[in-house]
Amino acid sequence: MGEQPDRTRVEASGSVRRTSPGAKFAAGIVAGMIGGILMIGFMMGYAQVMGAGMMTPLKALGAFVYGVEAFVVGSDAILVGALLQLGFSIVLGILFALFISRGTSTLAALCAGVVVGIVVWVAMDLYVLPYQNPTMAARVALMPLAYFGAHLLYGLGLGMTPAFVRTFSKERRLDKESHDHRSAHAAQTQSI
Amino acid sequence: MHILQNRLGKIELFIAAVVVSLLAGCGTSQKQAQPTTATVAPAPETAAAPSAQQIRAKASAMRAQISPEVSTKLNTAMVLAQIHQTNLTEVELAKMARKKGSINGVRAYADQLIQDHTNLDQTVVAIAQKSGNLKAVRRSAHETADEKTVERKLKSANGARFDKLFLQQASSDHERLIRKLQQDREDASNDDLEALIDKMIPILEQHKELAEILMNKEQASGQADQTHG
Repeated sequence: MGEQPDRTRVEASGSVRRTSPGAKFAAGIVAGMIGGILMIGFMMGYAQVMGAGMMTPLKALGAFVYGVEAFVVGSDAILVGALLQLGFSIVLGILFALFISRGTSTLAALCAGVVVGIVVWVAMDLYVLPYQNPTMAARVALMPLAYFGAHLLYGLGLGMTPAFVRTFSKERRLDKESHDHRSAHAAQTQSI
Repeated sequence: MHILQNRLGKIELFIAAVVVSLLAGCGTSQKQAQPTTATVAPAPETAAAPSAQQIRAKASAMRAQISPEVSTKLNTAMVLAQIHQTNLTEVELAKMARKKGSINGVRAYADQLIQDHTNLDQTVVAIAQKSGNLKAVRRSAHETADEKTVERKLKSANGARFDKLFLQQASSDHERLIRKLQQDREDASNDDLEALIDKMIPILEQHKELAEILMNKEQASGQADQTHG
């Protein structure tokens, strides 16, 4: 990843700024969730405009569990589809965030996110859907460009990871600083 | 050595020429055979009314007069019109099933049929527009007598009987359409039409499978009711 020069900057205290695993984890969850929602939201909107029905993309995802019956079992398949979409998006978001630090530039993260989106698209189109979910593969064949565009949107969502890493690290640092300040104040009071 | 190679080369060339001329002869003889069958003098007993063979010969002669481009366009328009009409019919029947279906599964299936056939029809119309066949497709798409009969039959049915009739009809319609499209796919010479058929067939197979699953479920629940009763 492209790093900004402040990554290894030594602070006044002499310690090196490092991104905590917790911040990365949280950032991965949020970015993955945003990417997943952007992706499925776009597909649902597109399906609605094309007359295929807003819930069809979720039902098609639900076909991973229910098979072709996902189209007639009702809300269960829709719920399963939504959970699969968010679950997979979050897991991939966390994995992506492991390679991101506070200093990673937004542009580099966006490019990497888009690459990840394209890789997922290729894997789904060529290997996963034809063998694991032919029901969804048939639906995707009707809207191939939209499906590709949705993966790019997911990549853009992942591209937000460094911003979230910075946000969560900052909050953590502020928390730590205020904790230190409180401890010092307590020690001072005790000594008095 | 060189002389021998030259001779062998000449012999090979000669054999190749003979084979090519023989093949060409076969081709022309086949081509020539068609007009002779087409222009065969009518037998005295068939002079009054044209036989099926004569009609076929006349039709093929007419087709031969049409340029291949026009023939391809006509064929594309015809297939698109058929698909368009099927989509419209399926949507109409499914709308009826959405209102009259007695179980959730049938109503959900009807919803899916409406959505899928509407979506597919948008693609059909787009292809017809692109290939300059839109007017022809819209003009030639009309309900057949069979389709009208089915619609009447479904309108008169209610409850579980309606569900059964509708699912049977959907299953047989889709099976027939799949077979027809597979045939059309072989004959088609328009890339867009071929791609459309390739995309349509898996969706239609899903519709057929769903109809069969629902029919089996209904049958099973009917048997269970009888056992309990």
